[in-house]
Amino acid sequence: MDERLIKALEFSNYQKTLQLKLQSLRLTRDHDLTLSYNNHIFKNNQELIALVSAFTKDKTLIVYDVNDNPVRIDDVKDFLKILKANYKKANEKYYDEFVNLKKARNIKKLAGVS
Amino acid sequence: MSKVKRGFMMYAYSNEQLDYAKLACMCAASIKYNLKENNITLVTDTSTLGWMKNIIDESTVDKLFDNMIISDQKHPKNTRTFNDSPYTQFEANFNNHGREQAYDLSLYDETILIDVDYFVMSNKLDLLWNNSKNILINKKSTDLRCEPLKSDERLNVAGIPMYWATVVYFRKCEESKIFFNLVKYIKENYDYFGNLYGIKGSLYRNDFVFSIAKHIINGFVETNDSLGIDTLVSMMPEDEVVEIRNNEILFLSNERKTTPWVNRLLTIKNVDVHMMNKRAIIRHFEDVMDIYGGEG
Repeated sequence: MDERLIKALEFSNYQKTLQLKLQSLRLTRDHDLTLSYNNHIFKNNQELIALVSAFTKDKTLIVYDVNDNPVRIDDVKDFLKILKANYKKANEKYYDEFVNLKKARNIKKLAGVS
Repeated sequence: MSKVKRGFMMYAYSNEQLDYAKLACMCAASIKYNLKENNITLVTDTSTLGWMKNIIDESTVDKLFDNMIISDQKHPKNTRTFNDSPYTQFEANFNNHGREQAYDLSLYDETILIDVDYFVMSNKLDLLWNNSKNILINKKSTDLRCEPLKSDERLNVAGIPMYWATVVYFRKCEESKIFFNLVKYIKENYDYFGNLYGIKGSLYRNDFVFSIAKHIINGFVETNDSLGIDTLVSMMPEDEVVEIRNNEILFLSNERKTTPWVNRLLTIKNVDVHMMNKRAIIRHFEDVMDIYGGEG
């Protein structure tokens, strides 16, 4: 086989494995961004944090849980504090792993195989 | 002795090909390792329990399972074809009857009914307790590559949504009692309901029965409700486990749709996985028990 094609296929294999690894990191991040409050489960994201931040002067706020049910938040500031802490922790972990991934130059390193 | 309010229920009945005792031990060990609320009741039969006490010492069995319910039920013929990687197929009796009794047998106010091939690598199941809903079942499932399992979204092409009975949360209350009584009724009349809802083949699956029950209970309409803690991530029967690590598994993910002779390395970390290739995880029993240790 032509050397150029071999190299291209090797790179293609590496790229495909890299994509799967990125997907796996995002899956972990999404799971980390799932939290429970007031007996409801929420998907934490930038939109939710922005919405709650806009209502910190209000005592209560209605938001939607993962099943699109309305939930009354009775302590908006407390809810925001929890959302921000969760968001920060999940994304700092995601960022660190993402940066490490960039250093992996072959499939073995991507998969963490010794 | 105060009643434990929350806990897990799992069923394990080995067949001639698959060691459900090992699966139950691994599932229980992963729950004890990762979750705060981790009281576990195992429903099994004498022979599976006897074998379990052969493969691990009795003190570990007692640590893993807080309660044991022995049910030596006779399993009806329910032949299933299992896959172990793309290259091996085998048939065995799928001993999956009994889940309809979960409400009656459960010792808890809140129960998570869990399949023994569900491997816990996160604390997400702790979010389910004290939920505002009385019954939660997962509707969304993906493979390890986060691709939706399209063929399993509905019971048939134009049918009702499929709910995965892999992880089911329920609270002891009238609604749950009605639900499980309905599950019993559907099971008793499975041929009829299978025909009515367009289920192909004669294999009895709890997923199908729970899906039909959910559809009826919901007023014969589709709803958006699901388990809530993200999609069910499933290792497909064609995939393989390469290495077990601390809350991480290195898989070989098979490109079953396009090029089934190609397998790609893929890690899943801190996410629970439904291990549909049961033999693949059973092969790593020693490694799992070393890492997860059976310790709470």
